[in-house]
Amino acid sequence: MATCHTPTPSRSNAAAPEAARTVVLAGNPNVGKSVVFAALTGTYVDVSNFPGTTVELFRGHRGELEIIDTPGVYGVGSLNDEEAVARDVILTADTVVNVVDAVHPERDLFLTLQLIDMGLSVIVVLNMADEARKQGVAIDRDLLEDLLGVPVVEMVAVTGEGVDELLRRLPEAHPGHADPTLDTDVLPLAAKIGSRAEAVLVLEGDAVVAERHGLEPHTSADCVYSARRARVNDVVGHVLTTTTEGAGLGAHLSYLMMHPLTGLPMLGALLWLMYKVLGEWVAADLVGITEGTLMNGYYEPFMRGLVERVFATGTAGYTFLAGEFGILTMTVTYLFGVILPLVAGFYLLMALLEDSGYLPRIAALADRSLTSLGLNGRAVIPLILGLGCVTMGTLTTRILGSRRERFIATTLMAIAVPCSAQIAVITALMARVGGWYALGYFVALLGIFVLVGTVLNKLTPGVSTDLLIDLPPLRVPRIGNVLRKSSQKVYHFMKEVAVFFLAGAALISTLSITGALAWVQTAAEPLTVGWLHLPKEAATAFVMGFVRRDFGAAGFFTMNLSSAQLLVAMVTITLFVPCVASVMVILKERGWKYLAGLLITSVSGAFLVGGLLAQLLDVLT
Amino acid sequence: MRNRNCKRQGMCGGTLDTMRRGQCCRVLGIDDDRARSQAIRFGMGEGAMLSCITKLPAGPLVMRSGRQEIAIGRDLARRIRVEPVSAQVVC
Repeated sequence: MATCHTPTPSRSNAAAPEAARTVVLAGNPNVGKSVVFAALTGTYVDVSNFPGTTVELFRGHRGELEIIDTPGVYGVGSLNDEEAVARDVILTADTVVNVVDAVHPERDLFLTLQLIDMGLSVIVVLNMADEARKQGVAIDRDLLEDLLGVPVVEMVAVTGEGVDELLRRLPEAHPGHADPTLDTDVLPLAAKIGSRAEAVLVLEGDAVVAERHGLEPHTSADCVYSARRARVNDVVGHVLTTTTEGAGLGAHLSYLMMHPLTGLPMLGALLWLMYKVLGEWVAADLVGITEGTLMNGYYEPFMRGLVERVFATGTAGYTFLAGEFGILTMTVTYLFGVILPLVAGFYLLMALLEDSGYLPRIAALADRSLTSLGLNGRAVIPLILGLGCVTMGTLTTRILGSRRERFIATTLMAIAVPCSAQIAVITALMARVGGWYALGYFVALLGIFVLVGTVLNKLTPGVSTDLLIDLPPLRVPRIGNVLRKSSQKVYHFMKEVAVFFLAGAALISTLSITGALAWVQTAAEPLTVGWLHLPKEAATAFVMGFVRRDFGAAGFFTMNLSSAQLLVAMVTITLFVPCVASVMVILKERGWKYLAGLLITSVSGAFLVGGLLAQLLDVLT
Repeated sequence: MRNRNCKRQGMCGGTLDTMRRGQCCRVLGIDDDRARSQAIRFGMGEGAMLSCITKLPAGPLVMRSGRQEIAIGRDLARRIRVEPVSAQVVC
């Protein structure tokens, strides 16, 4: 099979040291790409957002090579943000390392052949070779190499097996056997726009790439895709031999996880466990140590002592740096004493869920219920994340298929999903008032969640996408993988929120110094005292709740509230605006107009529901 | 093109949502642009052989193609035209 332009690969070895070459990792989701990345780059990686999106990019170095990890995709195109980011990074690559799951070549080779059709210098990594052997899947590597026309390396990235071979053979990467039938269309187009890779994408109907070159996207995507699929099946038919059909305990468990009768209790148990771990062990016990003992006990007095040497107590400078909302005291305490343990615990649990393959099964289970809220099953992933922290959840809405779904999910989270820190504080408060009120709180919240979702589904224009999700095999999570994934995310998250916290604390301090806080308390009296039947200090708690929701809830700790007042306060503060970090993320993701609408709706909604509840409880008691 | 033929000749077996657990089918067409691109990437585009592993009550169908398992929402399944295939051929 003749190819268009095959440079002689061996010569690049002898070439004089050139500028750092860009090696881009590409592959389907969950094929161990990040493990290959870590094996190649070691520990020092730089995480950044791709410009204009929230898709994370990991960059690292190995000698002269710049190595970039891309989001997992099933193909290169404009189907979603991740694909678009992967596409743009791949287009800058000198060499593409295509990581292929040796257990699922029929799925993964679609991307491989697309990369080859694009005329890129490719080297294929057959990862999880051990797992494939265990499952009775054998791939004839040499034949695959011949058929694809690019080097193929077997690897078990988790143990590091095959990493040396990959590094040794990296310079051998070169364009493979592209589909010759594409050439009649691609070659003239490539000559015109100067890139075969982009020409292929235009041919496949990629509107974004076409627009960059002032062209209309072609409409032959189906045809190109189908031909490619046929070639994948052909290649797989030649190189793959299977000895066993893997349908054992895993398949049975998978079924049980998705069926409502068994799946719901399992999901319930999982949520309970998560609550136990995060809400009680982490939020109460661990945070009690980190916040109470370490930060409040040692750090804050020390810091206040330092600040006192420069500013006298009570001055604006002191209040700003070390006052009640001081940026050196409260902010640091909240960031490292409260948020860090919570977020670390949460990401650790999420990484466990992710690595085990349970999450997509929850998505299948929840699909039916979420459809009536205008979402599909995939939305459970941001929603569950939102239970940990609304900011994280909002960032994750990018995995949803349409603007409409991202809109609905973000709104639901901002309004009716309490974060774990808040749940912890609320549980602690509710423990004082007895079971019925606590139950009332959760029922009210669930009701509002369903109500808001149903209304949004009715009112939001557009069409939501349907569930179409890959169910990876269930497996016991690999600790190394889980730790690496979660620590990277924690680091990234902390970096993201720190600024917002500083800004939030500075804002509140300013309000307090200028006397605006006291003014708000008085001005809000008709609302807090008259309508919600709460003490006037409640206004401070609401302002605090803007900085952090749990912080707001905690503000009610010191007020002597009756059970009914507590219930009203908790429902109102939950529905009230999301914390400052979420607000900033929402602003970044959804824009000004959305944010303004959300803030107005949630504030008025919160006071409306809270007030109605207060009147109702008044009548009842 | 194939879709049109299929409609004209009235040989479209039915839609995916009518499949029952254990049944097998061949995909004839997917009437949803986005889902079609995605489905081909998964290896379950036009012409693919699928077997139904699970059908959740009023919820998604879980289909297997090769060793790949995919959950498909019920509404989408209504827009995927399939023809039943005897189980011995593929399963």
